[in-house]
Formats: sequence, C-alpha cells, structure tokens
Amino acid sequence: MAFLEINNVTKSFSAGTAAVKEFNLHVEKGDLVSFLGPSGCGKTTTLRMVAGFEAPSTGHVSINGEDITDKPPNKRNVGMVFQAYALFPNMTVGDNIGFGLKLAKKPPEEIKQRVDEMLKLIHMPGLGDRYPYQLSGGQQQRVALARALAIRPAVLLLDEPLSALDAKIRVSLRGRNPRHPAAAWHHGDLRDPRPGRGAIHLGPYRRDERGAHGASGHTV
Amino acid sequence: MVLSFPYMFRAVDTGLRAIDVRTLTEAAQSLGAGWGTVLFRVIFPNLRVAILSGVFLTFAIVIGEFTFASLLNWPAFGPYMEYLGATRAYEPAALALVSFTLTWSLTMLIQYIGRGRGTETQVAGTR
Repeated sequence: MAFLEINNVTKSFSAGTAAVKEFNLHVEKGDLVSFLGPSGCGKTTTLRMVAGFEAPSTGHVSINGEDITDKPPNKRNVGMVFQAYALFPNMTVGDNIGFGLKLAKKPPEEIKQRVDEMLKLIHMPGLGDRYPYQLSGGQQQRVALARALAIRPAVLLLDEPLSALDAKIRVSLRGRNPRHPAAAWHHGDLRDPRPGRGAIHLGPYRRDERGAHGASGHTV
Repeated sequence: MVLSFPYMFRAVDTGLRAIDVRTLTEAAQSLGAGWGTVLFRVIFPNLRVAILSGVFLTFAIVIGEFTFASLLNWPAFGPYMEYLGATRAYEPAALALVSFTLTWSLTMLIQYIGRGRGTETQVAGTR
C-alpha cells in the first residue's frame, strides 16, 4: 500500500465535462511527483482533491492507509502552496509562517525556533517582521512555501510553486525535497532527479475521447 | 437600520471583493484552521478598513437623521436639536457646535483606529 493513493478518482463539474477522469496514482513516502500537461487538463483539480478543497465525484483518496476522501481540509495535514501565494495580508511574514503551528497549539518558543529555521531555509533571515505587501513576488512565494513546510505536512502540494523564483534559489530548494514524505510538484524544473521517477503527464481531456483516458496517470 | 443598511452593506461588500476570500480561506484551512479561526483571524482583520468606513457612514447618517428619530417616540439627537432650535434663542448655536465636535472627533477616532497599511493590502501576484 502506497503512502498517498488516489484511486479511480473522477471529478466532473456542473458543465458535464470531466476535469479528471478515472485517475489513479500511488506515491510512496519520500517520492517527488510532478504533474505536467497543458492548461485545463486537471493538474490543479487533482491537487485540490488531495488537499480537500474539492470532493471527488467518484473514487477515493487515502494517505498512509487512511481514507481521507470525506475529511475536511483542516484535518488532513496536507500542506499546499497556492498559485496566487495567498499570504495573509494582515500578518507579518513570521506570523504567516507560524500560523499553522499556532493553530496546532505549539509552545511559543518552539514556534519562534521553527519560524527562524524556515526563514533561513528560504534565504530570508531577519525579514520576519515585514508584511507581505513589502515583499517582491518571489519573496512572497518563498514565504508561502515556508508557511506550508512549517507544519511538517504529511503531503506537500505545490501548485506552480516556483514560477516566481530565480534559478539559483530553485536549485537550493530542490535539494530540500527528499525530507518531505510525498510531494506533488507542478513544474517541469522540479522533476525528481532520481532515475525512473518524476513526471506524470496528464493528457488533455476531450469529450469525444474513448476509454478512460481523460487525465490518466501512471505510477512512476 | 433601514437607512444605514445599504451603506454598511456596500462598504463591507467592496472590502470582500478587494481580498481573495476563497484562496485565503483555503490557505488557512490547509494550515489547520476551522471556520471560526478563518473568520476572526483571517477575514475580519482584512476587512477592518471596510467595516470602519461602513461604521463611519452609518454613524453620520444616524446622527443627522430626523424623520425616523422623531417617529420613535424616544429621546433622540435630531428631534432634540430641532426642538431646541424652535424654542430657544442662543442654545441652538452651542448645540450645533457640540454636534460638529462630536461628529468630527468620532470621525477622527475611527480614522485613528483604521490607520496604517490598509490601502496597501495585496493578496496575490507580483507587484
């Protein structure tokens, strides 16, 4: 049994077309998987179903053997970095990163330590007192990443996570990946360098297409 | 209520449109927040300026309102001002000054509470 399992998941929206159709994916702990494909092929929808923001029309999602298909997003321990970053504008960088830890009722010293550690990881030590609007796009994106990593999620989902980062930081962050159990990337640059692992190509779904293709994945 | 509702509604509605409520809610949820936390720690703080401007508009309307206030059969500021203006010679001028001072100081108070980086909120994208 794989750590993250997506079994036979289909998502159709009201318009009648399936965004994701009979999708299967098994990801082992520590694996890094990227979804590649043209826009509209269901990459984001798949990630959102793992995060719990969309309920699959049919099929099941499980993490570590536990079926989480009907679990609300705040109980899943799944970290997500959003395409639009979605930092909380009313909080400083430090508060943004520490938000999840605070909700988990961690002691303040531990939160501070973890926040400092995260700031160092994203090459922004000492910027914890800034507000999101005082940061550049790339810095905001790094804070969003740190915020998702700070809670040590079981699965880390990244929706176009490094689009605003420069190449140097991309490479230095990539070295960090194996620490996290399972991650779904969404960007070609981040394919797992280990041979035989990495990208899942999602085909564009066409209504007239025969068979269970849609957005079909293969375990890698 | 009837008079001030549209003002409050418009102010809060504009504020809600200015932030990406959905993505912020999802971000908070993925970090473990329940609906109460999302509402009080994420949505309301970002709506502070909008709510305050609604409060200001509502306050200005309520303090200057006469028609409804006089129908209320209850002591209210508008009717009292009118009554004083009709019956006394010098006191209305003093009361007018008092009402100006009251309105202005409360406006300043609201401005003071809502000061700061309200106009620079940014939710997504690059600058």
